[in-house]
Amino acid sequence: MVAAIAVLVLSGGIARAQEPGHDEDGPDLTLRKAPPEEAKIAPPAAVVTTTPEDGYTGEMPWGFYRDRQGRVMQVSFDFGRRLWLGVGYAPHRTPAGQTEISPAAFDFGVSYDELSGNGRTRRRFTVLDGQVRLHSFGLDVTGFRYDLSHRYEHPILRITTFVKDPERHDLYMNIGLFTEALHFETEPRGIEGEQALTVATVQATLDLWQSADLRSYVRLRAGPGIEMRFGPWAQETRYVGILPQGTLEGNFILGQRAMQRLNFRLRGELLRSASWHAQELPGNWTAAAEAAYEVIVIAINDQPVSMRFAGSAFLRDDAREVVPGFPSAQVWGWTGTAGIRMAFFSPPVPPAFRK
Amino acid sequence: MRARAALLGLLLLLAGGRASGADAEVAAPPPIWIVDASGARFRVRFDPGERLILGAGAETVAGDLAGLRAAPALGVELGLMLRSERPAPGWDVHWKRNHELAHLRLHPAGGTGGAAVDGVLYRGLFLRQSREGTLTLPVTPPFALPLPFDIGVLAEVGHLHGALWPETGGPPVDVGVVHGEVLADFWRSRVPGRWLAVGVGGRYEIGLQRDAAGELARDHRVSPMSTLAVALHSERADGLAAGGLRAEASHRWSSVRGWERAYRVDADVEVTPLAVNDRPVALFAIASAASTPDLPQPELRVMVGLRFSQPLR
Repeated sequence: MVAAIAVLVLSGGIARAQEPGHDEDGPDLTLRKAPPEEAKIAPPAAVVTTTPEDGYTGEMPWGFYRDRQGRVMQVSFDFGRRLWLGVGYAPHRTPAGQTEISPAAFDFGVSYDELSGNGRTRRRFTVLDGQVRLHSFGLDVTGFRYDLSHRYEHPILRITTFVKDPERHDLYMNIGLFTEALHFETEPRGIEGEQALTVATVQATLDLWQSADLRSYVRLRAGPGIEMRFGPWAQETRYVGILPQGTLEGNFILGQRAMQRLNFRLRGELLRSASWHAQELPGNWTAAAEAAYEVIVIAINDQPVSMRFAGSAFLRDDAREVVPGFPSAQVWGWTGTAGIRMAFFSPPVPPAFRK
Repeated sequence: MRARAALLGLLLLLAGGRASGADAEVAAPPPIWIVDASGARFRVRFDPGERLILGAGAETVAGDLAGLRAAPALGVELGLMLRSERPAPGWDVHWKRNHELAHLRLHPAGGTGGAAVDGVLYRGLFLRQSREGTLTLPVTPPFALPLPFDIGVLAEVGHLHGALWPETGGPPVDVGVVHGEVLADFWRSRVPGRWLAVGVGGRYEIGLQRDAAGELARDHRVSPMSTLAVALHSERADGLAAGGLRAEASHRWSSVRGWERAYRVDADVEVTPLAVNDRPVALFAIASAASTPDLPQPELRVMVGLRFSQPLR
């Protein structure tokens, strides 16, 4: 199935590339015939509703397109509102140092974005966002995630300097909230039988940059969390406090029709014992980095199919005595992913914030 | 002769220029709020005499200048300043009123109290300004003698200096019960916060100290209108800089030592380089020197720090 879809995607790309006058930046919303002159000069991001040849001129909902044959299709998809299922090729290096080059991975999740009526707050809900890896088995899933970005109307600090002529310098701080619950991960240190469950983390966010529609952002976030450990390492400490977790992350919705997404994340955690009687931890910190690029390439029955490329790496300091006799304070690993995702229930991007 | 006439003319010119300049400042004080080219509105004038202050800085106490190199300690300052409104146009007589409430400096100290205090619970300065100050002789007809100064009153209640309460074997605690001065203001500036005052006053204070046995010794000190003080204070019309100097010499009676002399000098300067959310953040320095018979040696105190203010007007 993967091969079939890949062939479809590639053949589509080749066909489009062979069309004379094809503009890489502009949309090609016509499926079978060359567009009329009016369509060529229309704004590329607009969802064009040209008059069909059969004379039918019914009202078109936003984000849909009618071709010359009168067929209606959805041509805009919201990355923030969807249920997705995906499959991909995911080679990785385990913390034990083994490189696995033939595993497959399935990913899944549900997300829902909501912009407030005044356009200053965007809330994001994500449920069951994760990945299952086969050969060897691995699971990394987050049960629930909620975050919000807010654009403040007034600067949090207005600094007036009187050194020469008085000048006012405004400092805006767009502070938001991030919280995550029930993040479950198997073998975080590469040791069989170990699992980690981050019960919850609550963090404050500081948006360093925001797009007008708050879909894209670069932000810092930091806050505490608590993790439960199962398996061999729970014999040392069952509860571990994350104090704090700090993250620099970005999310960018790209393209004139918002059909691409690029995101990255750099994360660091300081670990502390969270027991009544403090116990020694096998290490004090972890660090991770990941980046992903996703582009919607086709839609099947108005359900978008995207290609996704991702890479992640981590470094853990809490892996002392992983191998008896070879004390090691730090382990690291990486994962690469190339796959496709099919999304469901993804509505068009609202017109007020289309590019 | 010609040189003397020129000098006299210059003095008259300066005096006239100063008076007219002061009136001009009153007539057109700097704007409080301005709007920049981008439409942002912000405050550029503050009133140092009408605000709530909270300051913090490094404070050091020593017996002489060399001792000031000792490691300073953290000091905290707080207080409430209140001041009368500027006079209305066309005024004839105006009282410049300046109040200080709970203007205290706290700093850590040894002993069970853990802190020492220096400041006053209330201090009020009242300067009566008159366009035509005169000394009237009630003869027939009455005769008015022009005066080159305005008159005023300084009242102080609850001056505190020393530990929070007297401790066994600890330093003395000075509690100034009341202090009053009759003033002559030779500057006669129409601008708030400016005066050059010479005053004669009286004071009553109590020195408290516990000896090694825990007995509380009281030292009553009375200055029966035998304190002479000179005070100079000025501030910019926009309130972004202010400073003052005060020196006093007192011939007083002590219930322990009899008649004695005490001297004290206080200086302060404040500069406001910026404001945060239209609240001024100032750099300040305070210095005081005291030489009194109840102190084992002269005391020199310097504090430098940051002062945050909440304007009340």
